[in-house]
Amino acid sequence: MIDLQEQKWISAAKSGDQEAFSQLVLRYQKKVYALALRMCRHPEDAEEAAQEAFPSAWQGLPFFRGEAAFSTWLYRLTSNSCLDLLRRENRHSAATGPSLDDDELSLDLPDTAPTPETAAEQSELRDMIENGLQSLSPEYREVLVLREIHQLSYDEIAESLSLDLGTVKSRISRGRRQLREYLQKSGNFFPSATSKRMEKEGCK
Amino acid sequence: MNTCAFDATLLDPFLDGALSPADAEPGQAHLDSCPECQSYVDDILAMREYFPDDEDVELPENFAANIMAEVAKAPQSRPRKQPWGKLAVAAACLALIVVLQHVNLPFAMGGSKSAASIAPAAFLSDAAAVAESEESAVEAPAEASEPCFPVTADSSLEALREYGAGENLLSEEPDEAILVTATEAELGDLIVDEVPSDIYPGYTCYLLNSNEPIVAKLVERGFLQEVPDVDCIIRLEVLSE
Ligand SMILES: [Zn+2]
Repeated sequence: MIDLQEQKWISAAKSGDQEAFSQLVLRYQKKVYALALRMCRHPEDAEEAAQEAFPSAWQGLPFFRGEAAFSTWLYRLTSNSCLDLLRRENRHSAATGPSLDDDELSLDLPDTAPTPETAAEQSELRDMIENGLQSLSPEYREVLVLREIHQLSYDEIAESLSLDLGTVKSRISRGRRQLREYLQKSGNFFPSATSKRMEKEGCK
Repeated sequence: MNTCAFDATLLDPFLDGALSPADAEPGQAHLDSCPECQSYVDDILAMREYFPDDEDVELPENFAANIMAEVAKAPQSRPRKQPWGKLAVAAACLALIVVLQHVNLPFAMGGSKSAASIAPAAFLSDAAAVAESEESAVEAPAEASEPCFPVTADSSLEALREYGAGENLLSEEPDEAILVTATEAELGDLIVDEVPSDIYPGYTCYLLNSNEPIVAKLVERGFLQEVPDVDCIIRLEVLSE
């Protein structure tokens, strides 16, 4: 779907219209920040990454030919900023997870897993997922964030991150398995979900 | 634990609607009969249900305003008709990169003349063009205080290597990169369809696989002597002004 308003903003911003660019910033600020926050974890780092990504987009816009969606291009700049920031500062080595070289990745799980109540509130379940995401390497984290939060297709993720489709598939699959394993070991995230399914579907 | 023989890597595309109906059908049939795969799918759907969404995010104060303040300070790069003055400086900076990369990176090209050696040659012709313009001699020193790019360029390659962000582009031996530089004016329509992998002040970088159509066109236009081996990546740096 082509968003005509967005196309207008893009072409105006390309020729130097800052007001038009600010409309793009307003439209994408939450998505960019949401991606940066999961990637960098700390709000101040995420802000820094976003503060780099948007001006980069502004500067690079004259090169942007609209072959890729503006959003995926922006996410790529964001992802680059985040990875660069993580690498440059090496601030949160714990959050960078295991290397991708190993075929089988072992998870570093906390010894004492949080144990939420059976009737855990939605926010607690969300927190568990947030923590689980942070246990993953940035490569797995970003594909899952783009898939589940930004709801990009595999093709769009490949485009956003400059990856081939096979890599996107395998990272999503491995990332999910790691996240699932984390949640399985962290408490009763799944039992509630399973019982819910049983209620919904009844006995087959 | 993994007792099921079904190709489990199909489950995720199945969940993400990335399979054609024909491919999805056997997956659905298997799911109906396999508790193990079913439990995986259920778990992923449960995760999806509680996945945070971007509306949960609380933006820092003055987020957009701070961004726009940065934007106001950042000049947009765009093509100019006679960019020779700045080009001289940029070419000098990039020549440094060529030298650095030439020294650091073992180029994989066989044959008597490696494609990498084309890059400095391209500079020579640029430099010759620059020399014809008198103003370049005046402008160059003034611009010389601007940061050169080698550090950034290096760090971006490192970032790719370290995080595998470009692992499809980088071969087993990621050091095998061929640098090609050109001005935007020289390339024009060639880069229309390409998505930059990095944007720096004054130039934009594209990482290309040797099998991409644009590479053949670069050869046609003399930026590369021949299409490199499949394992080579080409780092195309396009000067924006
Ligand atoms: Zn199965």
